[in-house]
Amino acid sequence: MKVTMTLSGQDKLARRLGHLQARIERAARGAIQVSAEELRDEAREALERGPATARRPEAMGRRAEESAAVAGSLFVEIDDDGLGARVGTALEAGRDLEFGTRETPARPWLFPTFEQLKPRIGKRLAEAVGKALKQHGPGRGRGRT
Amino acid sequence: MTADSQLAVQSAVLAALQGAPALTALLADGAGGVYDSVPAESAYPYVVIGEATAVPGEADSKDADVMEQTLTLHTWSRYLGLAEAKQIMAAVVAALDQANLSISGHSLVLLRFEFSSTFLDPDGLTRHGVQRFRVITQQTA
Repeated sequence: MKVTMTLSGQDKLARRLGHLQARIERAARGAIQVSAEELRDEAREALERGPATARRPEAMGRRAEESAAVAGSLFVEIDDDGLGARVGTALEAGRDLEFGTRETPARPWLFPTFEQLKPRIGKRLAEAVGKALKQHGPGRGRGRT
Repeated sequence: MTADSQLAVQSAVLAALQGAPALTALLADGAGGVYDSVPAESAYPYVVIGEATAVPGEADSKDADVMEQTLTLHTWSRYLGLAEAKQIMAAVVAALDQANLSISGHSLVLLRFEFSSTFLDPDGLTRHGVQRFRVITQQTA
């Protein structure tokens, strides 16, 4: 169970802007790292709050235990180039909570969290890249070796 | 607007699925086998409208009256193997993906199949299929 975030299109931009590639990617790496960690933290909060409901009472205690186990197992993996990240869990209980089972209704903790954060993540990436472009400034970099 | 557009989308999706003969022919209870809430002792296989997310367009922007939603559908089957669930899920995609649904009070900007997964339920007997669709609507009323 994991969500993958990948920044694409930066190569096209870099071709146009040449030497700006390194600056843009450096800025994007920071934004991706922060966003992945934010998603992990918010997903953990989603797991830790809310009622543990189930169709059978005995399943409720088990569900609370599963939520706690999944919350403690969340990982963030950053790609080698720093431009992609994965947030998730290796535990099957993560999938059972996200999608539900025959005994217990779904209590999604990952996908809705990602959907809620997506606008903020997009804004963060845009701001980071914009800042890098602004710092570079018009004309800077020309004539340098 | 959020709850209103979510309900309107759910109603349109439910009607589209219940009105898709290629899908209902595969369900134990026909058109009655597409549920919002599953009655006890329902006959397998059946399809359930599941979880939704909704994110409104940014206020004070041109997208202020736009709503981006996702809707998850669940297929439950007791067939020995995943073939039945996969057949049903293909029929769900055929009924919904890029369909031109009529949504009360809203115009449909996009309806797109996004994701599916199938697995064996922890009971060891039931096959569970999950599908997600992305829906973008714009308020008209």
